[in-house]
Amino acid sequence: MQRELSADFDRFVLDRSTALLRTAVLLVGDVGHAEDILQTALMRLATRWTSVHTAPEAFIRQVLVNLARDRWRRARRRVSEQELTNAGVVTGGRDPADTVADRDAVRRALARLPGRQREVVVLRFFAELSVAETAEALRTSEGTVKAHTSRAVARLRELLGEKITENVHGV
Amino acid sequence: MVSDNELLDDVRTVLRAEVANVTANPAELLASVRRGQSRRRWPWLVVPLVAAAAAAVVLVPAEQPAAPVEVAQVLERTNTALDGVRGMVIHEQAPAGEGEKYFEPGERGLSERWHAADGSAFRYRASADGRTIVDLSRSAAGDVFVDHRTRTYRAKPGETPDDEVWTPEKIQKAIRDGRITVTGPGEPINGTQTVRLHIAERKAETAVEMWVDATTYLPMRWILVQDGATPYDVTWLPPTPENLAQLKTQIPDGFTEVD
Repeated sequence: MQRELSADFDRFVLDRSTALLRTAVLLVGDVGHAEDILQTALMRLATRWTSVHTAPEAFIRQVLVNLARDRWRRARRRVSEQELTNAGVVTGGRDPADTVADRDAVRRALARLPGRQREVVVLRFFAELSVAETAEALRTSEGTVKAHTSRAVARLRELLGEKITENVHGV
Repeated sequence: MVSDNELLDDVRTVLRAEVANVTANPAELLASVRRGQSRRRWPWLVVPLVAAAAAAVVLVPAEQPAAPVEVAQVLERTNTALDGVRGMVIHEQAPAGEGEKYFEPGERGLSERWHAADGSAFRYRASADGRTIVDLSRSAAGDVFVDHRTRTYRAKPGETPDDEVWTPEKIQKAIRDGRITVTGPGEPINGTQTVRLHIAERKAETAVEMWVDATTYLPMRWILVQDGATPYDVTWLPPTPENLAQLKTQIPDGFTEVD
């Protein structure tokens, strides 16, 4: 039985580690720290494997989010939030009405989203989680996830120099 | 005006592009998890491991200019990488031909071997022109030998095979015993940079040359140091049901059992 569980754990790591590492990179902002938190998260998963092996991905996503938040908290204690407080409007000098947003501008705008909004955006639109799965990963309500999604889209538009449209946010 | 859906499509594209080049190393992750677990259980084991890596420094042949610290690192990383593949299936293959068992004069083909990485099961298959000649497997569950030329097979109760396979555990023991030396960078294998190791002979064991991936430190090729030996290319297969099934020879329908 232990051998089967071990093989399942190995298979999970083999199948999912790259996707999880990519999510972690987007949550913490650099590969080195993402590798560290993924390693820590896998250690915790291994110790809890018997109880969480039926839904390991949900468990490890929660751990990754918590570890990423710890890292941000530590970083905030060390340096000021210059990135966020200095966030300005990013405009490309083009009319955004007819084309999709400039991707470099989108990248810079995403980097300036507040932490919770960025978490929601990464989990929903990169990891492709549902609202319910995102809420579970962030240990919050579905309503909060929808609110953060909506605010993130609005903030992105603001940073991209566009007016907020009346539109369905897919939430 | 850009719609929300268009904006979110851009968000997806940008996020994916940001991490497109990020790839995990599952073998190393598995190794670190196992290392962490074993440290919690037996923290004192770390000491001999470090000592073994340090001892390996002095085993560099005098004519090799490789930096000692690099040697210790190679062996330590190889040791760590092997922790991550203990549950896997080892697949080896090499071209085979005239003079080798099961092959007829002038016949050329392929020899393949599968091993459970813990040494508990073994399978060998010889084939020529894509057709299997012989397929045999050994494990505690039973020994099977299938001769495809005569369409016959033999089956008998089995026992754990005692084959000359370099399991992760056996390689790690050779590192601890100081029998492995780093002989320098190896030639690239399928475009992958390698590091070449030498495992010294001992008692009835023949010396082995081994090439490990310079990034993952997993063995990619090995060859016995003896006349006429063939290098085997090694692949580490995850323990999926399909790969574990490769460890057991299947008896085709219609084959006749012989004594």
